[in-house]
Amino acid sequence: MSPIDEGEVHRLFARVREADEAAFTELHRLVARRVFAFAMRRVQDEHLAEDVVVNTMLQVWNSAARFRGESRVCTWILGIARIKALEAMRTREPQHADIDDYADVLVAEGGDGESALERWQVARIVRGCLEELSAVQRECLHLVHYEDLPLADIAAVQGVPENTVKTRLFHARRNMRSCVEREGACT
Amino acid sequence: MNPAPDELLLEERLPWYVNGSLGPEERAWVDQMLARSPAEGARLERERALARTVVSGAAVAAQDIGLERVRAAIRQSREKPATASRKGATGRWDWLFSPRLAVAMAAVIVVQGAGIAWLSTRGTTADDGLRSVPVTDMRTLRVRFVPGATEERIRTALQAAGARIVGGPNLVGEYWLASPMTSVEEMRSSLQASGLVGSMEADPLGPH
Repeated sequence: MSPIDEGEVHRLFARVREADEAAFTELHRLVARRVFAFAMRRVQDEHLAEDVVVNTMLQVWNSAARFRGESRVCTWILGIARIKALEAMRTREPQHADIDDYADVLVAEGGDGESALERWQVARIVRGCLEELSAVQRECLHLVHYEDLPLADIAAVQGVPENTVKTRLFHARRNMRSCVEREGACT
Repeated sequence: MNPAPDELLLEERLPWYVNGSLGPEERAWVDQMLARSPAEGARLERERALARTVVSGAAVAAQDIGLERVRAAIRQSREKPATASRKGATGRWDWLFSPRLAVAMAAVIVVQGAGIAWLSTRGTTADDGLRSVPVTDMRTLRVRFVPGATEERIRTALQAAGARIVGGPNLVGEYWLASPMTSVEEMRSSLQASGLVGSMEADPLGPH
């Protein structure tokens, strides 16, 4: 994911604190997709993930004046999103994404013949293994490799000590490795 | 054979090395370790492959996702107070602004509030079966009772849920409930089943 412009986020957020709706719209356009991607790791349901986006951004609007600046704005927003996703999960059982959903992505990657098929199969296995991880492990990998967050920020988003993040990540990567080996894919 | 401490540390730092968030000293140390052997290079490549998978497998959405719904909710929350204070409203919702309804609603709130206040002051007695536990040791829910809920029915529902009132009401008439004995989930489902709660939200921070 392309890195977010933190300076722009802070400028917009300062205006949101003054109840500037136009700034809020711009802020939404900057962060909503990230909130959606993050929520999907946990809820695995597009409608539910959209609800998470709506509830998160509403809380951002309502609580902006109370933000104390103890973390980066994006970290704070992802922390809210995590709580909203947990609340959303309580209303519905988790649903697993159909692996065939990935087919169009892989087709779009182009290529032909056996190599394309092999790439498709490897990617399918790796993504399938990712889906097999627990929600917190998947979330952890997302925050590291999609959001590129440092350790301290991930601990803040997940509301746990840094060592817990390290442990979750250790298990996530170990589980990924053993799953990929079991399925016979080389990455 | 257990891996050497250096290998464990390398394994631990690799994700942050790949995402670029390591400090300069730690980064230099990882560079040094990676240069030791091709096996370490393979380990780095494996981490990069995982990172690519995480990125490419992420859900994609339009940048405006949910925006209209958020705007509508903001507009609604702004219009609510304006509507409530509007004078001389006409049409089929006139009854909402009638003095008679206001008096009736006030009476319900006073009766319910008095009952709830009484409940919250006696929530830790032995006959309730509840231990006295500091609020910070418990999980809390923020709830709003339905207008017709009587003190007696609320008391029964709280006992069934193993919950007690630990705070409130706030400006919008919400109370904080906590339970030292049951999980938030159990408390929530029990209260939901009672039909006495209009809105309910987990609130780990408790009364504030």
